Amino acid sequence: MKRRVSLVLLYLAAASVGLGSTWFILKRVGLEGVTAGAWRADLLAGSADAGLYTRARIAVNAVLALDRSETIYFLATQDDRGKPLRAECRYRLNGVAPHAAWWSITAYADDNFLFPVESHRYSASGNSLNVRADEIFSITIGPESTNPDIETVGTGALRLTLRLYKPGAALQRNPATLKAPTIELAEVCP
Amino acid sequence: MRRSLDRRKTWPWQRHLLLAVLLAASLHLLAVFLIPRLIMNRVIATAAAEGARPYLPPPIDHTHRRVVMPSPDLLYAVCAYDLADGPLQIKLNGSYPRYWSIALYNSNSDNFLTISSDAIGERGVDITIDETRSTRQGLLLMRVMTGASPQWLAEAEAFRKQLVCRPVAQLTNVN
Repeated sequence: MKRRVSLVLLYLAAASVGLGSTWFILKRVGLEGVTAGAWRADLLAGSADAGLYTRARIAVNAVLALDRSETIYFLATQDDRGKPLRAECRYRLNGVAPHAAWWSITAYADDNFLFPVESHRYSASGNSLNVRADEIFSITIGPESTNPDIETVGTGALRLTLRLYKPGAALQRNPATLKAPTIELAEVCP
Repeated sequence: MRRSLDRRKTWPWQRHLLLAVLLAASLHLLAVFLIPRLIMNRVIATAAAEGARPYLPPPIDHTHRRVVMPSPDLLYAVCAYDLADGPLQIKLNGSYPRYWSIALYNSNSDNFLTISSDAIGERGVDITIDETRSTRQGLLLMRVMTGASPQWLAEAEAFRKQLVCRPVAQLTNVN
């Protein structure tokens, strides 16, 4: 009887490890692919050439992503110093408008959904900032009290997505050449 | 008389440990393989449950929690399809001066076809999708850039309403 119980526990533990490791890899392990500053892009998002893990990771974190020929998605979860981005902190992003038909920076909470802010200040784009390619822009991201361009609420992880729709030829060939926006902590976090 | 001992052979612990490792690895790989399909099945079922085809969701805000990482700068149109109903006809007339695209996804989440504004211009879209290109079930997702202007939003709304996605048989007049 004791042996039987031990065996059941052993196989239950094995199942937990198998499924738990899946969750860990798909949710917690960082993206592979190219990097530009604090930003990372998986160039196989949406692609039929994506491997098993890339396809699963994209499905969990960004299902219905477009193939890189149409859109490149850069994701930032850390600032330029390598510190995790947090919703309760204020950040300043300085950058140069990329060469793309349209681009935007959007903030997401740890669950990959928009922050519940009544201001609806979820994102900034080339249109909202009224900047053309190669022009400088600067935006702030943080809680309402900091009067940000993009508003967050609560505590926990902050994720930023930089979307480039119809990126220019140079970026298509080598996305790592992106002049990525810098991400700096603007003031001491609470 | 003493009862005889149980003569069944019992595996050694080493064999059980090996089997446990194989079980963990198998479950892991199976989960990684199935997850995109399960997620797409759910997305397709959710879209199909809306009834209308295409389904035109309201503008994205923080109350949208069906698909992760939605863009608040885009207006969407969604069309779940099942090629068991026959080939799918996709039509879009009219023009829109800002970015738009129509993307099609297989049931394993691969984006196998994208049509966008710069390639089409004003000539519109008229294509047919069958099983030589798509898995039996799939999803069409149209994106239309809106911006912060109410006028742009109204124009985007009018444009996405032009989308037609139905089985060919439903579009053909039968006398």
